[in-house]
Amino acid sequence: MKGLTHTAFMEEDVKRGFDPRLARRFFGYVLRYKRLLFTATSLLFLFRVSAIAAPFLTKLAVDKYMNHPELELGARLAGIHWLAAAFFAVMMVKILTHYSETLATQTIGQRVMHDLRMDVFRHLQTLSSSYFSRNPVGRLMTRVTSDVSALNEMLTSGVVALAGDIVTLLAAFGIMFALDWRLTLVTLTVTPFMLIASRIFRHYASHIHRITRAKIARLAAYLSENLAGMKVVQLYRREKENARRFDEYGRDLYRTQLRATFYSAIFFPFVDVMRASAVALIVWYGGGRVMQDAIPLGTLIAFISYVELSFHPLRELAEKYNVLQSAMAAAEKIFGVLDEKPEVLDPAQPAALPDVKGEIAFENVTFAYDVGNDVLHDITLRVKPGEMVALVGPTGSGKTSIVNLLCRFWDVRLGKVLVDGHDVRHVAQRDLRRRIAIVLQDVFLFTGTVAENIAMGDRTMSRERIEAAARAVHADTFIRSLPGAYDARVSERGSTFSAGQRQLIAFARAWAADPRIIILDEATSNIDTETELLIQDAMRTLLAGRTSIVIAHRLSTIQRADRIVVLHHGKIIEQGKHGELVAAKGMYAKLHELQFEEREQASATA
Amino acid sequence: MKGLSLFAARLARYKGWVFGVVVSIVIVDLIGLVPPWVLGDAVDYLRKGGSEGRTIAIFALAVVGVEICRACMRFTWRRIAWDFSRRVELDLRNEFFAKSVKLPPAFFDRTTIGDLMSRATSDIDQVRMFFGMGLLTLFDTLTIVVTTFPILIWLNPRLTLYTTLPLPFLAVICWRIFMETHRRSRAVQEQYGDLTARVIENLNGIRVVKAYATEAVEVERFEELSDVQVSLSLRLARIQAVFFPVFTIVLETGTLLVLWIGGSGVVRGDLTVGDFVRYTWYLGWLTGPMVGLGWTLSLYQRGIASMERLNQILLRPDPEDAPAGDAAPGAIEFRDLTFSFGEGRPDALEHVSFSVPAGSKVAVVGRTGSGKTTLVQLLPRLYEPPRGAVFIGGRDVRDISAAALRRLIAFVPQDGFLFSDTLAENVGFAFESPDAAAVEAASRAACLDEAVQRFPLKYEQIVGERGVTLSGGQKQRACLARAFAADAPILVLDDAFSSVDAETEERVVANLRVAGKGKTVFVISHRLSSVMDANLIVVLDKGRVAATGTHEELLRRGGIYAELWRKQQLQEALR
Repeated sequence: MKGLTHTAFMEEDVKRGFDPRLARRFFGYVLRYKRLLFTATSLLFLFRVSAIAAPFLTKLAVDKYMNHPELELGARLAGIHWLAAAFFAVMMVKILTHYSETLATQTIGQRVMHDLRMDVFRHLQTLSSSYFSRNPVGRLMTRVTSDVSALNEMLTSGVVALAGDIVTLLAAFGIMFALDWRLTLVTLTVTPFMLIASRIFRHYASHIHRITRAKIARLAAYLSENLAGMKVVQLYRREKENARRFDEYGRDLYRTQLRATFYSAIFFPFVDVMRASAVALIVWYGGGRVMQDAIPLGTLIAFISYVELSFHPLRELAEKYNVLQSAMAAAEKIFGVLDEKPEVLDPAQPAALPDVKGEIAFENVTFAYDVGNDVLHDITLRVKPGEMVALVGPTGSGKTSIVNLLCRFWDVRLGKVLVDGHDVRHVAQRDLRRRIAIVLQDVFLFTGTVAENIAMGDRTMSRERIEAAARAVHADTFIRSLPGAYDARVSERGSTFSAGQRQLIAFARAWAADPRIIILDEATSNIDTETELLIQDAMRTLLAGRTSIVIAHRLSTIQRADRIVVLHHGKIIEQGKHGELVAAKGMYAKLHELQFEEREQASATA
Repeated sequence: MKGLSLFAARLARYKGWVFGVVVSIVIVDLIGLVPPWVLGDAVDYLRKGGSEGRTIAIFALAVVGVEICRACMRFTWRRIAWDFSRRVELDLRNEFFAKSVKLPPAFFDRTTIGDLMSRATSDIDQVRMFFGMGLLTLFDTLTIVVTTFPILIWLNPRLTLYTTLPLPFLAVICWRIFMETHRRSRAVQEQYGDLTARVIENLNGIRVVKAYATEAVEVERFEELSDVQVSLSLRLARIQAVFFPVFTIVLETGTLLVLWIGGSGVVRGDLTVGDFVRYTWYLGWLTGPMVGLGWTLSLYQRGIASMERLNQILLRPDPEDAPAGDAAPGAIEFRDLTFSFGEGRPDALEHVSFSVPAGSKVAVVGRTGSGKTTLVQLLPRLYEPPRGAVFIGGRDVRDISAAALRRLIAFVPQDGFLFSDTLAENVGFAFESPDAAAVEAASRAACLDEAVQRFPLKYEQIVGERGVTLSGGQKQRACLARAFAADAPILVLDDAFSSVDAETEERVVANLRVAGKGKTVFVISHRLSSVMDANLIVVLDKGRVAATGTHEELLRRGGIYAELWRKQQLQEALR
């Protein structure tokens, strides 16, 4: 068993003891459905009580009518008929209450899940970029999905079933005590053995289940890894060896599963023996009592039935505990997310941001993603309304950070960022971002139609406007060629579109939003000449009359810019017009020769 | 009954197990017949006014004794049955794996890993369920019906007619309910997948969401999905909730009839109270398996569907291969090679011809999409080249078995794929149990060693999600080390330095000059400084050879290569 240790896979499976605070907070959600909850509880009570009525009716039949030769035949038969009718009535009650109780409980569970899911999702939308850079998507996704399901599990099959089991046990023992307390006590002598056995079983079973889960995870991981890296496996002729290891992991899992089977194969028959012992005790002690005429025969028969009824809940108690533990861990994680405070906050009284002219100012801005690691140093930059500024610089020079600050995805450490003279920290994020459209290098398309992707969440946007946007940026032609045109589905984040087409959709999206400020991170990828020309032209239309900051990778873009700002190691080291900077023979001149010319030529020769 | 034959062959393999399951289940069920009988006798004894304590104690002991025997048998039975179904699962999984390692890369290009994984997990699970619980319940039902039914008839034929008449219907109804439950729960799961995908998409695109301030709409869109999830789940709950009433009606109508007709019979003296008790018990016994029968039917149907999906993989023909044998290294030649990835797809390579003497270094350069990777992938037959186009040591690669061919070639693919295993295992991937010294030497040559020395567990460090995360450059260097360790006569580096910084690349290339002496080396690289010493540089453009020659020749000639070279020189100057 080289390499993979199963402990590595076990971190995920967290358990947690009962925490009343978490439980109270969770039940706050449940209490929103008081009426349903009341209905479900009453139905549950009715069902469990009616479920234990049947043996009692049988007892009455035996004692009152079957075993009473002194009564006249007609009366005895009539009694049996009446009891049968009663039995039928109880059965109907049982069926109806069970059916409606299940639906009521499930409805509560689903509603609560929905509420929790929405709360977590809604809250995630308010959290800042820093939070998302700390927490991988996979982890956050589980908060909204499987953790919420774990809580539902606790509610529907944990708490409710537990309550029901308790009702059954209390009612069954209540009747048994009422019928004959001595026989009840004798019957109960098996309970301690049962409880001890289920405790031991629970201990081993939960441990081995955890290992089993980890081993299943390991096996699945190994398989999917091999499928993903099949080329490497084949190139290095590891087919047999990896199959051997897969078999080894499989056998290891198999042995663990057999061990798990061993425990349940012992436990469940043991429970049966215990139950049989209880029955034997009833036959032996109860039989004696019948001989002494202390109890009627029917009581004895009823006792046997009640033992059957109450053993099931006893056996289940162990399971419930496990569900509760996992749910507690899930609750802690979910409420952890809900308690997370966004780092970028809207001010208490946001200043109004009226019609923006589009003036941008960075005043002595210093910024760091992590404390002590400044990526921008004392940046001062003013952009006049309608001006086009090209940001140029090597990777890691701080271009993206400037964009992040302008959109207020992060907050500055020192200095301030102003839009039309308003500090971005003094206005609502929503107001600010409504005025800015951003086109990222890697265009993100959402599942939905092309039209929806252009409208970007504005459900009221008219089809005319969407099409006008597409026409303005030359996206119209290719969109119309799609099956379904504007209603064509975008699948797998638009991977069926070429990079150039995605770019055009993003332009249309920005155009449709009609902002005063546009931030454009030009794509670096190779795009075919034809589309490239369309993009250049579309960019002209899009940026016309708007303030724009372009992270530029193309010569034509730069040449068109009103000003070029050269960043290096988080500082502005040069700025000016293209011609001036080339003449200055500084950093820009070199960058220019290297980056931009190549692309121009590449697209010219392609 | 086409489905049955699907399973029959598989069942035949496990004859012994099946026999064990059947025998133990029959024994368990036969023993199970005893307690109700004993209890009935006890009741009759008491009713007749029996007063001997000893007799009643014997009854009690009989109940416990029988139950202990039964418990032992049930223990055996569970063990055998579970063991059997798990073994079926294990075998199926191994077959699946053994088949997938034989399938060509072209197959994996067309199939998603998610699809394969769902076959390997949930489909195998379904088949296991049928072989485990399904078969078990089937035999259980058969045994109980065959044994209990005669007893019931013997106790009271008329009553039995009434009480057992609805039971077959119960089986059918249960089967329908189970199938419907399965359908609905599939719908819930699928929609849950959509819901999850929505969350992932939202989180991945959170920057765009925030930039366009569309959080509210995102919430709305998610809420719509969440609402659908609620209604689908409740739809499932409604069918699940039906099960209990149906079961109860049939079971308790039986009991009701026993109470009513049987009770009257007792009153009239046609039936003893003991028989009445016995009858109630046996009837209860018969009801459970009827539900089970419905369940088995649904397991059978699902199992067949899953087995068919599995067979789509398991019964795929193995790709054609030349008979096993040895292959000798030597000159490599491409002879008017034209290749496309499939019928109707455009040619990825057109009329490519050039030859490489053994022991020389060849560089393939060109823009993205010019066919560089395709060309080198044909060498180890990752994709099948046409006959008469690719030769190693004078032999057509198509006439060399894949295993022998790949033994000649150490290949570093573009994507630095590593397994979540230790570094030693990854670097020594070409060997079943890699030699520590060889691993270290290869890692040193690939300039990986310094990084490894900083890891707490050195070469025993697990990499990947569950261990340390390697940087892109470290990953590539590990892949290089893996190829170096393989020590094959032909080395192919497909853009193996894209995430490695220039300085390190230079060092690795220098190491390679020493370690790779006598080897034929194919290099695809964007950094021309590391290909300039090649004996031959092949410039590809749109699948065709645009130029060949040495560095100096190509520079003199101008064109794509000379242009690329000039720019890289500038880049150097900037650093």
